[in-house]
Amino acid sequence: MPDLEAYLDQICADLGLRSDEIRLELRQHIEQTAGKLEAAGHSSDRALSLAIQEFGPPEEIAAGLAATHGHGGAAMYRRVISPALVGVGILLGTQVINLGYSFLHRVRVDALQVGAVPSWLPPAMPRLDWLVFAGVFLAISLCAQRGGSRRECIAVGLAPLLMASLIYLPLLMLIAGLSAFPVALGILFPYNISLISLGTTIAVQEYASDLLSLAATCLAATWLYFFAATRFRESPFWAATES
Amino acid sequence: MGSQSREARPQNDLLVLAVLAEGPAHGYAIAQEINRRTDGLLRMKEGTLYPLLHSLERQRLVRATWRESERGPARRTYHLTAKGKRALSDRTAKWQRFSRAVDAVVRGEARA
Repeated sequence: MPDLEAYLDQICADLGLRSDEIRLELRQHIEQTAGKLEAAGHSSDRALSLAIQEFGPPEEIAAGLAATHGHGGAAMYRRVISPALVGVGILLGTQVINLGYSFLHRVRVDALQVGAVPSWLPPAMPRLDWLVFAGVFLAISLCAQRGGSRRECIAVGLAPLLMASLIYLPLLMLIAGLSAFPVALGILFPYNISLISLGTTIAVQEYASDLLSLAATCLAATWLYFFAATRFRESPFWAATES
Repeated sequence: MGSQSREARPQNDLLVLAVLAEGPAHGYAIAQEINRRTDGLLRMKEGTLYPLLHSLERQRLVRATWRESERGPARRTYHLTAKGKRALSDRTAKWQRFSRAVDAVVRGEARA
C-alpha cells in the first residue's frame, strides 16, 4: 500500500510552522485525484499510488516550497525567533527609557503633589509604557508572522507613535488641566507658584521626552524587524523596494 | 510544469494567473483547468503547482483563504488580487509580444 504520510513527510518535514497547513492542502489534492482515479475503476491502493506519482517528486516540491517559506531553521527563525528578538529589543529599550527618566518621574510627582493630581495617576504612568510596548510587540509579531509587506512595516513603525499619542497626550492634557487648579490656588496662596510651575514644566518635558524615546525605540524596532525578516530570506518589502 | 526549466517560470505564473482571473479556485481545480484548456499539452506534475501558488501568494499577486466547501472540508482557495490583475495584464502583453516575435521568425523560415 502506498504510504501517503511518508510522501507528505518528505515534502513538509522542513517547512517550519507552516508545515501542517501545507500538508493538509497537498493531502486534499492527492486524495481528490485518487478519488477520481478510483471512480474510474482503479483499486484504492492503485489509485493512491497513481495520484502520488502524478503529484510529482517530493524532493522537487519540497525544494520549491522551501524556496518560498524557508527551510526549517530559517522558517523557525523568521516566525518565532525574529519577533522574539524584536520583543527583547523593545523590552530592553523600555528599561533604558525608564531608567533615563525615572529621576524626572520622582521630581515631577513630588512637585505635582502640590496640586490636585489623583494619587493613583503618577504611579500608573510607567505601567502605561508596558501597555504601549506590549501593543507594539504584538503588532510586530503579527507582521513578522505574515512575512511583512511594506505597508505593514510602515504601519508597525507608526504604531508606537499613534499609541503614544492616544495614551500620553490626553494624560498630558489632564495633568495640565489639574495643574491649572493649583495655579488658581497659587494666586490666592503665592508661596505655591514656584512649585506649581516647576511641576507643570517638568511634566511637559517628560512627556515630550517620552514621545521622542518612543519614536527612537520604534525606529530601532522597525530596523530590527527588517534585519530579522531579511536575514535568511528575501522579504516582500525588499523585493518591492528593489523592483 | 515540473520538468520545465526555470526560464519557463514566468509562463507558468501567467497560466495560473489567467485561470484565477476567471474566479477563485483551489490548487486541484487550477491544475485541472490548465490541463483542460491546453488539452493536456502542458500537463504538469501537479505537486509543482504549489510552490508556484505559494510564491505568487508571497508576492501578493494572489490571496489564499480557507473556504468552506458544500461537498467536503474547507479548501485553501486562491483569489487574484488587484496587484495580480495588473501583473496578469502586464505578463499577457509581454507574452503576446514574445509569441508574435517567435511566430514571425518561424513564418519567415517557412517562406525561405
